[in-house]
Amino acid sequence: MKLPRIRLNGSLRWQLQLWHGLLLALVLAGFAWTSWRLQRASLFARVDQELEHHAQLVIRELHPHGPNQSPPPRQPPPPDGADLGPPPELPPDQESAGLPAPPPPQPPQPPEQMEEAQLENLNPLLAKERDDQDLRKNFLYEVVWGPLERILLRSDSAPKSPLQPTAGSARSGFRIHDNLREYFEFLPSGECILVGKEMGDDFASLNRAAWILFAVGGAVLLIGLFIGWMITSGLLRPLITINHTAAKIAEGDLSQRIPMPSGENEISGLVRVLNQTFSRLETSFERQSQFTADASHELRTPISVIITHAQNALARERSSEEYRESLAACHRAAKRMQQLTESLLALVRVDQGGRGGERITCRLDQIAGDTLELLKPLADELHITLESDLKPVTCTGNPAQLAQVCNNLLENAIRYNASGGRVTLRTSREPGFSTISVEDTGRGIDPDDLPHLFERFFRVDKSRSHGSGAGLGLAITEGIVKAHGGKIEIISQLGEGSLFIVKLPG
Amino acid sequence: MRLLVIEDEADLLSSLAKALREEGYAVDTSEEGEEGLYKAMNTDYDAIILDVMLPGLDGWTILKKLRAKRKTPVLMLTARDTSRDRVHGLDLGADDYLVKPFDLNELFARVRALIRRTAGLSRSVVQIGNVRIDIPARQAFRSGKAVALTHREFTLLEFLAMHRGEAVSRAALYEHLFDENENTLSNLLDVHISNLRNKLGSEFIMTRRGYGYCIE
Repeated sequence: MKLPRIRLNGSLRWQLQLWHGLLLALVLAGFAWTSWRLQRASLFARVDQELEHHAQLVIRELHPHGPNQSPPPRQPPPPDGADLGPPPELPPDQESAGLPAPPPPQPPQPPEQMEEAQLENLNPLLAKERDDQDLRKNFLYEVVWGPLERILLRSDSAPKSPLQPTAGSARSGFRIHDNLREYFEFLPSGECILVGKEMGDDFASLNRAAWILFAVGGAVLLIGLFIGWMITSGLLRPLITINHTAAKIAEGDLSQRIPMPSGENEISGLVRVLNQTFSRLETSFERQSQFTADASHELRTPISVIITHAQNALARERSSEEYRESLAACHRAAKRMQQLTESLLALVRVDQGGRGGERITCRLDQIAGDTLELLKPLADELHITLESDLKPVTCTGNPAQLAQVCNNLLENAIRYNASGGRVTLRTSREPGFSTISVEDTGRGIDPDDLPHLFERFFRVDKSRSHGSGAGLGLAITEGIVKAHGGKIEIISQLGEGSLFIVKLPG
Repeated sequence: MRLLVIEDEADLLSSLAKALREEGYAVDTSEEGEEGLYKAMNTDYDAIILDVMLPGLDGWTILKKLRAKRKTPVLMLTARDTSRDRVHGLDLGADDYLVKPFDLNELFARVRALIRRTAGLSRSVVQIGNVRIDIPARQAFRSGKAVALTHREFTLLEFLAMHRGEAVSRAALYEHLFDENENTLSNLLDVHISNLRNKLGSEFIMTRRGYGYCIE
């Protein structure tokens, strides 16, 4: 079942409360209504049984020999009233005792007995005698009409002008009017008898019951609403906490975490996922800001060189030799900044998912060979021997980026080699992937440094004196290889050299 | 006044040393941490300019080891500018902190202030008798009239003035006036002293025979 959505300022709590309240009110109302109806029905059932029973007595009184004969007046009824089963309020002994055939002047009697005695009220004097006691509620009364709507008999407690039931619809039946419950029956002999009961008190107590039900129901509803409110608050508290924390994080405080709710439920699962997300966000932000700090740090040193040299040169008249020296220093610093910005751009491209150009099928061995040629002058300068073993291999990728991978690895191998050392470049095909490997005879990599080798701005040697690198080359290399779906493996022995193997799929 | 500059960026080191020498300082240089620490420990420098990122020993380690033995004022030079870095440096015993890139004039002023503070002077102009020494302007006045001094003469005067009332040994004067690369002649100091006496008055600098010199 789909509930219609009710918007109450978007508050989940109020929606829950509203639905919960409605449901509770409905249940309580249904319960109270049913219970009141049952009470009312049982009251009527009791009264109706009483009335029917009484009607039988009256009939028997009128026609002791059967209802088809004309009534023999002043005939005592057979004392068999008890056979029909006593009405709830009439003890059987009283009932039978109250029907003596020749009625003597009677002392005040219990009301139940009077109806029977009233049958003799063809003698009005006798009826008169009981008048004073009769005018009370809650007593049964009876009226008998003869044919032609003539009232043959009317007990004193009956209404002054009783309404004669209309014949036709039913031979007998119950009706209710003016707090009176009445039973009527048309006898075959032509009479119509009516027995009734004043039910004002019963209705009043029924009303009272209704009010009590209403009050109790209201109280239960209030208590239910209160408990519902508490439960909703309890359930919503973690959500509110999450909201607060998320707001703080949105303001920029990434160190915030949502406190774990006690117990294991849906909310705690959500909290765990959110906290993990926040942790990852924080780490990535920290890495980003660390990266920015490192980048600006790397830029600051060459800027310092330019500023101090320029300031120095401008401080007074210098010889042309001094000017040349200063300009050369500025040039070197500018070169370094250029390299750094290019590396940063390359990193950004790698970070953007290797969108640095289209992928085509390229010959790895040709790319590697070309790169090797370009680095020959540097190798010669540093007295490094370059060797190569290039088997024809293809792979899908961006040629410019793959050339950069070869260049970075080769340049590192040349720069960090011992003078007179050797660098060997190989390409080969292995099942499932193509490999480029670069082996050097340098000093090797400390096992402690290995895990950090691909970190940005990480330098095995903290010195800047070893040349141009800012510690980005390997980070870029790894980024490109990963973007191509490959990986880099390193085998290194301190003091003997390193072997970098790039494995590319395809 | 003799300074030590430890900086691994050769281009920066050369220009710093040159500029400081032109300011009249004797400047020793080192491109590497271990060597720098050795020099700092074994020479009585008037101030040390120390880069943080160094090959070998980094600036923080040098500072810590130096502070165990010497109180030489240290100015840290670094590209890291977060306040955490500054606090760390100052807590380790650095006397001042300058972030790259910096202005040379600011560096000079900070070095001057470091040396002056170490000498216990609160002002940069010193008055001794009728002689007034304006340290930032590197200018001396006798009875209100400017006196022309060479860089070295002024540095000698400045050093003696900062140690006013103390006898300063010839060895100390040599150590603070000449850097490691200068081939000092033994009588060079006597020449400068005699020039100063000619220009500022023969009684201005007293001789402690067999030891050194003193300004009363």
